[in-house]
Amino acid sequence: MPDQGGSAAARAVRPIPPPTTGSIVIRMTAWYAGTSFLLILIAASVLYGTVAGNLRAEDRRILIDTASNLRLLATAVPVPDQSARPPVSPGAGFIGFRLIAPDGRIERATPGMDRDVPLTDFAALLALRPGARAFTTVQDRHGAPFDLLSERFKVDGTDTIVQVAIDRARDQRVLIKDRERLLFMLILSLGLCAAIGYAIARGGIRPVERIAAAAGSIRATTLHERLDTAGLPGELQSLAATFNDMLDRLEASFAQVTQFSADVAHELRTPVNNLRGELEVALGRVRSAPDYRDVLGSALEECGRINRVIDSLLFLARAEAAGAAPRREALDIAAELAAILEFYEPAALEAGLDLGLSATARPVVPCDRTLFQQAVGNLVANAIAHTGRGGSVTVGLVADAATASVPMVRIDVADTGSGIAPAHLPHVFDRFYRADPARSSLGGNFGLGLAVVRSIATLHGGTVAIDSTPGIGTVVSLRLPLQPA
Amino acid sequence: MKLLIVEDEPKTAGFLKKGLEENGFSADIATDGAIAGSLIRHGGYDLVILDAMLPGIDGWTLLKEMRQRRDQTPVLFLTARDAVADRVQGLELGADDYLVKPFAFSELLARIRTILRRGPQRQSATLQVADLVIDVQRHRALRAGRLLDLTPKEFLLLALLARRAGDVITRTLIAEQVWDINFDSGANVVDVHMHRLRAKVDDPFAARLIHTVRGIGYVLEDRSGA
Repeated sequence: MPDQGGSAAARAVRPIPPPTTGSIVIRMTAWYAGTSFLLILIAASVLYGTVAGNLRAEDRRILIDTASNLRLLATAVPVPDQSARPPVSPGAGFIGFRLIAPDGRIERATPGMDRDVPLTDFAALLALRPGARAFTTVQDRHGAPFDLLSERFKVDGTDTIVQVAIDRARDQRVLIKDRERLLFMLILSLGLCAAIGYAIARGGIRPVERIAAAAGSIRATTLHERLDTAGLPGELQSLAATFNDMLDRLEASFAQVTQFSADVAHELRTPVNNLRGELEVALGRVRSAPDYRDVLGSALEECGRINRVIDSLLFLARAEAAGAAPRREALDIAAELAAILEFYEPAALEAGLDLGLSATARPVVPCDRTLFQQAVGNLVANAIAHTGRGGSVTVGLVADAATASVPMVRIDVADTGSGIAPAHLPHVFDRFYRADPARSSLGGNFGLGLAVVRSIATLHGGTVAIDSTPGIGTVVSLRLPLQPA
Repeated sequence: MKLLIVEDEPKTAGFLKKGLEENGFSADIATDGAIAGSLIRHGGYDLVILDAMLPGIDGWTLLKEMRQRRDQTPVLFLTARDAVADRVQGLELGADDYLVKPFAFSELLARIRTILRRGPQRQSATLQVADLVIDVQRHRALRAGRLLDLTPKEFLLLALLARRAGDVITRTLIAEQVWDINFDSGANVVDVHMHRLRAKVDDPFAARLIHTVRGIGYVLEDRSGA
């Protein structure tokens, strides 16, 4: 019947951080271009500010120098010949001055001064205290900017106001030119930054795309392929290595699953073959009723064996599925062991063995009772099956202090049997692994018994270990944590 | 006792019908959910053996409809799925019991009998099969008037067989009922116990009462008169 429960429903979705919009390349380009542009903009603004400030400071220094010269020379300076100086056109770096008496009369002036920078707001000038100076920016008729210095001082006891003007139109033109050039450079750099940023981002992303393409091409049949980590940047090398590790694990699991399916088919083939052969032979001739009964009984026994294999396999599959958790109840382990041994004792006596229990602790462990019985039962049955007449099987129960992290109980099933060669030891807990293929275990579970024990231990957060000396005996130690994980 | 077998696999339905009829039941077969539904509505069945996966209407739906109609006919669920969730679902919907394929027929028979006998079970104080007398309360067993020297477990085992004398008891059930061992431990261990019990109950006497049914288990019955 089809299994509808389905692994699809149980498939867990690994959490991935919520996706941010857009491609990494675009975002990297934007950030790169944005930050570069911002830095260039700041640098250009500072540069421009400095140039503009220097120009103005230079102008003012000229104004101040001229004013102080005028003060020193006030009396000595002859009245300039009004016609001797050509009219100054705006923008030609015109510097002019005028001396103003306190009554508002212009005593002396550079020709063109009154035309370009007419005297205004005389009241404000009068408010200047002697020795004080004020800078103002004014515009002439054409709208050209002038810086104007007004200073009041006494010349030979006479109160005088001097005004010196400097034409800033040329400065302004220089600055406008500078601004235009800077703007052009900024636009150009924005484009360049974006282009370079895009190139860098693409280059950085390319190895990731290579990894993605390689990952995308891997199929079940090409699981042996690996990513080439040479030539990858350091950060991505670890990604690729992690990816390759994952492939290693996948390949191993895949091989295991494939092997497992083959093993299952093979193991089932034997009992099914027995079944089929026996029935065929039985039907080949007319027989007596007891003969038929015998054959049918034997067939039923064979079915029982197949059934046990299926049960064990289902259990193993389920135990390995993610999220499997045993039902737990508080078990008095010593009492449980005594009950299990009581069940197996006649079988041990029959085999000429001494079966004993030595408990030095009386722990209560939360675990699934049936599974616990099965684990210990499998170990005891194995021990009985592999120990010869006159030997002994001893089950020991101790509090296990050796495992530091969590307190555990340890159940040792020790026999004085033939032992297991060291070469087999690492594999005895694998499914279908039989150290001695000719020998089947007492439970007749086709080499699944120890695999089931390991699964049960793992389900409960415990472990199982084996130690064996050929000719002396075997000890299997089942450790279960006192507290559920 | 009339049973309805709802099962789409003809071979399974066939052996169920045959086995049940040979054990004193009469049985009808329905091979799909729709037929089963109308048969159940017409009533007259003492128990329905219901397969979970059916063409058309599945077993769960059928069961749900029955219980919604307040039809309390006992239902024994059969399924190849033994995930705990499935089991719980079947029982929550009102199934009386649940059996996972592949199952032993004797197990099915035992469960059917348990369901049909439900209610206060008469627990007689003494059980008798031929010249074997078991005093359940005093934990004593006598054969031909002689007290048998049994261990407590051996007594439990003998009482189990005697209480269901004539029924084949599986090894699994024996391990479960007598030793409270709930996993399928394989054949041999129970056989050894039976061997020792027989040595005390049967060997000293002329007629054997405990019989092995090969491939299934054991039965206690008096075959001397047959």
